[in-house]
Amino acid sequence: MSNPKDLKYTESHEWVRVQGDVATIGITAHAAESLSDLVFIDLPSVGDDLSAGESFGEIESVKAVSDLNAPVSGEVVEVNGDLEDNLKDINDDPYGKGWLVKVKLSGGTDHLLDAAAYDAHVQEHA
Amino acid sequence: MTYVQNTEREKAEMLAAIGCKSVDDLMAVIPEDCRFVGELDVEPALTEDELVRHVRALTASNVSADGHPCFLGAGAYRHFCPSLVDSLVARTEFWTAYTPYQPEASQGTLTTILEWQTMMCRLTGMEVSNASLYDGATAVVEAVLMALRVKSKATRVVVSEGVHPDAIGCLKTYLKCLDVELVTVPLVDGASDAPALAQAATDGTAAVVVQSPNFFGVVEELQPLVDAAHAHGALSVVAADPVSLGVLEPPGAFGADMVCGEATGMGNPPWFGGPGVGYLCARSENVRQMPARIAGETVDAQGRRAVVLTFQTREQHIRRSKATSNICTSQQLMALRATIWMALLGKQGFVELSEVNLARAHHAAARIAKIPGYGLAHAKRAFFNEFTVTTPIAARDVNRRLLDEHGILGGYDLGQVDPSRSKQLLLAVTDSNPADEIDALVAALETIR
Repeated sequence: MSNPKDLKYTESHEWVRVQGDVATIGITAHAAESLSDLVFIDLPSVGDDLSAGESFGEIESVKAVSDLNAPVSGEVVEVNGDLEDNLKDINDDPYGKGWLVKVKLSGGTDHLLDAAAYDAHVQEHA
Repeated sequence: MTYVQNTEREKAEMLAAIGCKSVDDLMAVIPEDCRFVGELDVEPALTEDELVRHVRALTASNVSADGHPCFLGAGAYRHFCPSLVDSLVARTEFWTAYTPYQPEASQGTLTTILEWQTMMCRLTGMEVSNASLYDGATAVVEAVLMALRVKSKATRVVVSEGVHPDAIGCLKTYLKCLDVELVTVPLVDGASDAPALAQAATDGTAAVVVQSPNFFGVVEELQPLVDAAHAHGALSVVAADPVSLGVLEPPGAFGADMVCGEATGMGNPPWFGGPGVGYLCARSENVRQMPARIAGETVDAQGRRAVVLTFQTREQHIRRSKATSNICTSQQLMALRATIWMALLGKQGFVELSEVNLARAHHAAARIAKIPGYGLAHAKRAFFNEFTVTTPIAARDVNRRLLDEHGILGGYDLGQVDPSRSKQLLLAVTDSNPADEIDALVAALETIR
């Protein structure tokens, strides 16, 4: 298990990359692997407000439909429009091309896990 | 193995397992003054023979549409049904109201569902259909709940008063506990009021619901009603009697986002008011928010054609409380009857049956309108197989005299839903009302004033 050290994580398997006041959000490699082949994703629109801990979309695989939970609060400033036709990016490159949305942070990130804590969380629930 | 359940021995075993001495002991937690004490006032058990005689006597006191001319519709219509429908649905492979829980093992059943969906889409002019719903009223509710999922920020639903009162009642029940406002908009001369609907459907409205033909029999002009929904971004939900679509333009052609309603009239008699069968058709773009089961065609590992239940990931056995609906089954047997009925009639037969309804209803209406004291309540409006008649005395009394003096089951007394319409009778004339029944009705009404 190697989750990038520079990212923050949630227990519901989302990751966050903070650059200034903008946070990029995605789902972790563990989440993508568990979901297996993805068939559909429903993401918010630019201008929508995300509220930490609440659902901001859903992701559907051949096995299940899961909510996407907002790791942080903020306004959506960019959505990864390439995903619609390239859902495999989430499986193949979850921390790169598979990013979901970028938000302008309106709240803190202290509640998030660091890579070590997230690794431990995944191990514990494996 | 015993076929008698809940024997004294089983009761003793169950009580022992939970550590109670008796049933009274089990009930002891309920305060005594809340408990019924004594023997229930029930007559002693009858023998099987006595019971059959008793129930037969009760049945004989019913007045049935089979033995009397009947002009009662109001959502449940009688149509010709070939006897082959009864014979085919009685096959053991089909004889269940459920879609199977190991669905792909039952390719035959899934194929009939796919056929139903295909026929319903063609009838309504829509892109996707589900496997059926409980009845017309819940179909309207499911369409509205679907619209609320598609427009997830909406807080308002607008409904024309032309929608069946059962459907509006059902909507009120479902929306009562949601943070959604239900606005009903009155009719103008029996038809939906497009400008008023558009005005009510402000930003934040999920759906505008209309019905055509509406509850009072009026065929709505759908284009302005669909446009009224779309003006502020709401979805347009149209409830329609599928039999009427043999002669009427499909709601999909006007841009409706969902078409739904009661399909019982196709291959199903009105029974005693149920079971019904509802249908729901929609646009492909919203298919992921569609409730209940959907059959889809694919290929198996060897490339052979196969039918599957698709989007099961969104159904309640997988998605739990976040499912698109808590309807996990469908009215499979009733939908199958409708499917066989449509297949037997064929495209041309369907149109012909629909035309017979139109012709007979218009023939009857024209003659009734000439009877002194009677008239058409909405004479300027178009209708299909049902129309509202104004009566010289209370509609309730017209109905009673029709039955008592002429052996005719009359129409629906509209005073039941609207006191200002107590002298209005909703009459349905279908292909199940031959010319002599219409003659009898006209002759009878001439004596009732």
